[in-house]
Amino acid sequence: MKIKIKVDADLCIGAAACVVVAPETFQLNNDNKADVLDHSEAPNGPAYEREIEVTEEELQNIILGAESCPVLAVFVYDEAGKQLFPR
Amino acid sequence: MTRQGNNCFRDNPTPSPSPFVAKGEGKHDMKIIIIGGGIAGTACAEELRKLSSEVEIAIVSEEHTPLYSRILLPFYLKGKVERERVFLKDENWYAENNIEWLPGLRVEKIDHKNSFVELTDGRELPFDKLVIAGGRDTRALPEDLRGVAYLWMLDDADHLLQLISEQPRPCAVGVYGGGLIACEFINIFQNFNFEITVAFRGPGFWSRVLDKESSELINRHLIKNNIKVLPEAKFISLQGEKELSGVETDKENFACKILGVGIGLEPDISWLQDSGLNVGKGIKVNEKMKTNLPNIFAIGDTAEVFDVHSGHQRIMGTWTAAQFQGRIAAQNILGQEEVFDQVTSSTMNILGLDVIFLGDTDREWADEVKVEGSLEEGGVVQIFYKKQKAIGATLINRNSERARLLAEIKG
Ligand SMILES: Cc1cc2nc3c(=O)[nH]c(=O)nc-3n(C[C@H](O)[C@H](O)[C@H](O)COP(=O)(O)OP(=O)(O)OC[C@H]3O[C@@H](n4cnc5c(N)ncnc54)[C@H](O)[C@@H]3O)c2cc1C
Ligand code: SF4
Repeated sequence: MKIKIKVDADLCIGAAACVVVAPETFQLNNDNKADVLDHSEAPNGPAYEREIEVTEEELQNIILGAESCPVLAVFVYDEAGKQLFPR
Repeated sequence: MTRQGNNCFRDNPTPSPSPFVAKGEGKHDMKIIIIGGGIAGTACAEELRKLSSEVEIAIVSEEHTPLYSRILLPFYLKGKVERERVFLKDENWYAENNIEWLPGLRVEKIDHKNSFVELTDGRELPFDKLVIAGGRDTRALPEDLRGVAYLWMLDDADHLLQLISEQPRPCAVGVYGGGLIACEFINIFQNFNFEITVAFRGPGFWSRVLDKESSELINRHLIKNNIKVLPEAKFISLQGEKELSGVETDKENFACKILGVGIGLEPDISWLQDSGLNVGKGIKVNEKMKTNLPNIFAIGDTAEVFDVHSGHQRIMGTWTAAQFQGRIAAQNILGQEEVFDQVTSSTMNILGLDVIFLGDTDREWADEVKVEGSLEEGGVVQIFYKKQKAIGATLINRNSERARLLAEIKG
């Protein structure tokens, strides 16, 4: 399924909880904020927002990463634009 | 001296009935008590429930509110998020997950031989497994006056916001201390365009960890941002009758209507002295979160955890560590043998200057510290070694080195 992941860079403090849980989706950049990756790749360069194709298992892990963020800076949406997290 | 939570059990005179009636034996009716409802305790409860729908879980929490993010408090104070957004759980979450939530109560005593804890309302709760997640308390000044502010709990943030709202602009404020909380105060006060004086006992911020160059880099950055910096200034007394008007130090006195105090944090372990638990600065645990006593675990800021990368028990003191230790304790309570092997990382931004701590940065434990960069170059990295292996690092304005150093510490 396709999902959209967005990191609110104004909120992100670089706590890296998302990176620990889902390193293939989140990576800290030189501003100490989390970039969103597509399966460890960054097609078209670094981005705080990305649409990616994931399996149900991958989605659950990405949501666990988002849940782990101490400032709730990670937003996950489904293909129809419905917010999956924060619930 | 440390401060106790403002939310004392006395505010909550009608206790709910005991969650546990009798002690169970098998895993199905295993009774697990968690002391402290911060991120460590709540993450532990959440993971336990994820793994088992049957175990009985109770969280005894001195604070009255559901879990909130301490890290969001500065965002709330600066008006960047609404107060409601600091909460990570709502009151219904506990019941929905069949977790007994006992807010406004403290555990006062642990009887490990008979496996029960005693609460401040006199109740005794039996347990099969006990998880201590009591966090840390802020160290307090020896005196108090209206205008003195701390920043650890939501109550502290509400109090600080009230003080800020009462001040005219421009207004002189002070910060006493040289660590994470002092940084947060500086950022918050700058947001309100206050005139800030910061005083600390050592030569610079984190004086037990940072070298001279790193310290000086931070001091100069503060001065460049119009902050008055008073290093090597020991607190003597508060000035003012009913309200704060200034601070006397052995170096210089300064005027301030608000004083943000960030002079350190320490676990409150005084009540555990006769518990049989092995305590040092915190409760000593191995990398599986197990204490020296069977069936008792400790996690988060209250625990001195064995760091598998440095071979040293230490308080890790970060949100992410607390959260993952909670999850690992839950897994191990249910029979797994998981290990906490994260390289801890904490990041601060002081008025635009990035400060990163990775892994174990205890100078006394390290046998060598190498320095890269310099004041002139505008960035300094310190790498801490034990037996020629990197175990920790500090990075001032050197974010790009993070990934390399993390990999080196992971080994
Ligand atoms: C302003 C601020 C900014 C921060 N920024 C960062 C950051 O950027 N990155 C980072 O990693 N960390 C940061 N932290 C630190 C982080 O919040 C803590 O490391 C984390 O909250 C520790 O979680 P904990 O669950 O171990 O302890 P706590 O959050 O302290 O929770 C422990 C709870 O247990 C309760 N308790 C204690 N004793 C008892 C008892 N006997 N009975 C019942 N209840 C008890 C306490 O009242 C408390 O509610 C920040 C903290 C603050 C205040
Ligand atoms: S967990 Fe949150 S704050 Fe930390 S890096 Fe990820 S998005 Fe940023």
